[in-house]
Amino acid sequence: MTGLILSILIPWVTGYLFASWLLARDEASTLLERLFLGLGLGFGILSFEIFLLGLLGISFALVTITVIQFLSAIIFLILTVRAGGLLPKGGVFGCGGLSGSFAGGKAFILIITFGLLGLFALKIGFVFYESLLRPVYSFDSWTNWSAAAKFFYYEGGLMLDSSNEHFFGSGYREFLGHPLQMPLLEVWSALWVGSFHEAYVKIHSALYYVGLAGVLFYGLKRRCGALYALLWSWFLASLPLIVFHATDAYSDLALAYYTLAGIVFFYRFIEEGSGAKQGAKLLMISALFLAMAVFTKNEGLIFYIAAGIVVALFIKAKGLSWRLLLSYVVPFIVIAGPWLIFKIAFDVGYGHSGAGSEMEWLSDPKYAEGAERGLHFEVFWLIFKEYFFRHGGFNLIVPFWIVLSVFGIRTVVKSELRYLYIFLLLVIGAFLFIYLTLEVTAVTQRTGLNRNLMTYIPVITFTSALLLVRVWARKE
Amino acid sequence: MALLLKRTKLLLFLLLLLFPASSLSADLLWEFDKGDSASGWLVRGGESRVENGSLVIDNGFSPELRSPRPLMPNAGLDGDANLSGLVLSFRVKSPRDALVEVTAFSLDNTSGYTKFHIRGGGLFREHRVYLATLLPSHKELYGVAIKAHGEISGLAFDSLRLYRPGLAGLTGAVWEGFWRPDPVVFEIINYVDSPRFGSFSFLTISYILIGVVFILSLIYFIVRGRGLSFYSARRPVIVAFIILSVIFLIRMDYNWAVTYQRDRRAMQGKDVVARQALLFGSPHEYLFDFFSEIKLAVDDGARIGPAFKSHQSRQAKLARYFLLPVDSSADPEYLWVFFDPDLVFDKSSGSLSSGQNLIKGLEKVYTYEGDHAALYRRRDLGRSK
Repeated sequence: MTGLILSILIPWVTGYLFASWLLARDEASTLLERLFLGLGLGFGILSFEIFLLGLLGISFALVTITVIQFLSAIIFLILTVRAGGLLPKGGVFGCGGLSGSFAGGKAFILIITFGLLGLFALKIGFVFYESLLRPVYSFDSWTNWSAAAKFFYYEGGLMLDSSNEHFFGSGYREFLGHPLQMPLLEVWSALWVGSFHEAYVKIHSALYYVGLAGVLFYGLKRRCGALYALLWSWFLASLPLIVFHATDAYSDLALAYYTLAGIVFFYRFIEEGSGAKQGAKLLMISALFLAMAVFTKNEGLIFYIAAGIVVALFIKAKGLSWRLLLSYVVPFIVIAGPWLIFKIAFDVGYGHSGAGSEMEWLSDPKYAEGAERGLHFEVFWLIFKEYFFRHGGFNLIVPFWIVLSVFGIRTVVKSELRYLYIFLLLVIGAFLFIYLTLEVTAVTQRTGLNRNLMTYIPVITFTSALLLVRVWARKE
Repeated sequence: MALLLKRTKLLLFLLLLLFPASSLSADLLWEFDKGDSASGWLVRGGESRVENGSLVIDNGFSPELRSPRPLMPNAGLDGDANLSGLVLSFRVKSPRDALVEVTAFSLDNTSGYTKFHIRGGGLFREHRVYLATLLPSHKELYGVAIKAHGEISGLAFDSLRLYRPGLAGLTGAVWEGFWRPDPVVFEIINYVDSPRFGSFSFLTISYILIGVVFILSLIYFIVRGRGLSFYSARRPVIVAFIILSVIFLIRMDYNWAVTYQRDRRAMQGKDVVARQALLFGSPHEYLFDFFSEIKLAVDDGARIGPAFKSHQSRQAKLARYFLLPVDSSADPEYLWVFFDPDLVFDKSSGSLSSGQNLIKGLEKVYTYEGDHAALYRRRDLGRSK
């Protein structure tokens, strides 16, 4: 267990220092917020480093990776100290301590606050308990993700000899084009634990779960107050499909984390980013998280591109310098670039069509034997039934968001919230396009449909929370 | 008082909408108290006997209890056989916690099922399933089946009953169904079904209630002289959403609480392989054990693969994963077979066959559970370990 704890702490400290450097001049940034952000940044940097080692053909030895992690931490520490940001200016929790953040001192508010924190603690306890007790067991988790991790762990590298029967995990991995973030994190845990422990290696899911709630909390707290933010974070952390994923080894929860973190900073850029330097910084942080999303799952590209389109629209609408876009593109090139170039160089593809992972437009080979090539418009009705009547994984947030949007349509159009809506509509449109043309079975067999939605449900939650405050208060 | 009466009537009306009335009232009851008769129920995957007024299943491997079919016309329930208002109730005693699957079959060859856990122990416990939660209520019942997953012995059914209870009884069955915890099984990675309230999902019920709140709000504002304003209804609608979300949340959190208790009972203190087998459920109980055994029987650096299974089969995929670090290959030196009923191995000639498939030049190096599963090795590799 000591090994497992170290496997968490080492990248987390590195990530915390990275976040501290990025937020060094942020007056409102708190220690806890940096920890929540540092969690994802640390895991992202770690998996990226292991990937580079694999590309260079260097064996995945514990000592090698740990030394690189320490070097990264030292670099970020120096950068943070030089930027004067080691100690967060916003304190530990924000607003001068936990009780202070729930200002008013009224007993009622305190009871609700501590009640919610108690419920949160129970839920997090449950998630960690189940995560450490249950071995990887859902079919998709081990075929899509843990199989890669286990193979790389025993291979001690990525096995990039194309003449080998098991090139890059062939024969073990269902789809070679799947990104490596989660498998490489599992490799790291296994190295520290000393064996590929089927339960311990997937601890990252539970950590991303905590991080997801934390990122939403601080994303909302800056705008709507701590108690309101806590309520929404608790709600998000209670969504059944998210809780389930927190106990297993799938990549969608990590993707949801990176997407939400990226969009929270993207929205800060929209709100505060007119100043060139501040805007560039916020945009860079947003792009960093979204680039890590690309290295987590292929769908991350959808989020990065959709947010990029909205950034361009915003720059044009506000008459800002196009050079700002560089801040959005450079982190992507650095973090996601090597992976995407690798994909092209080794032709490992994106899709689910078979061993080669190639995409077959207008034909989903899993749909039915001899199925007609074309657009499968039947998916619309199935999606409607699934999202609104059958699936209970997201409580009532989807219909709530829609109803709230109808009530608040004027508010949305007139406020900066419209940029979040454009982002969401682009994402929804992109997924619908994929269901129509490529992945019909994601809908008909209920495979990817709800998991895909889960990756941007936190953004829908964030948007709903921001809109609710305005709709509730605004008179007609 | 008048207002209260109106509200009560409205509530009853809504309940009637949820559970369409039926003209049927007769029961079908099986109590297994007539000698050794199983009363037409069939047991698959186990040995059955009738003892002390109970139908007992021994040596079961995912045993399934199947009702007489076609159930309704033969069994004498009057009227049509549609599922509306029809409840299956059974009193069962299990030696251990077990995952149970209740399936309803309709006359038009469709079926629907629900899975839930039953507690182990020495007491009979009654479970009620409203069959219209499994299939659309207009469908006609053909039969039912109750399957207990995994290896089990001493599973006893005290009674089974198919009946149409009154409104109170039906509400009780629906309420029980709403709160019945869903087992956390591997499919859930892709979806979590909404809990059901009778024939409807909780989401559908929520829309109805939110719609009612919306309309009542509009009426209220009109009556109060504020005119027809959709925007004014936003707060009642939002509050309705919040209340229903909290109810939903409590229901789902209850599910996690039960999951925690069950997992603690079933898995805490067990090794990873045993936990894995439990979670994958039947028929994997032995599979993981088998894999962990044959791993040890393979020479260092040797490759392994399934003898007859397709490399794309789920079992072969499981094997590749769980046999690591042993190398799984399309051209292996070692071949494994797991519970193949058609398997024949001729030791003298070293030929292994299953149906039309034949592989020659093998020697058996490991057997598992009385030859049901085994590991073979190509003879040209020398003596086994």
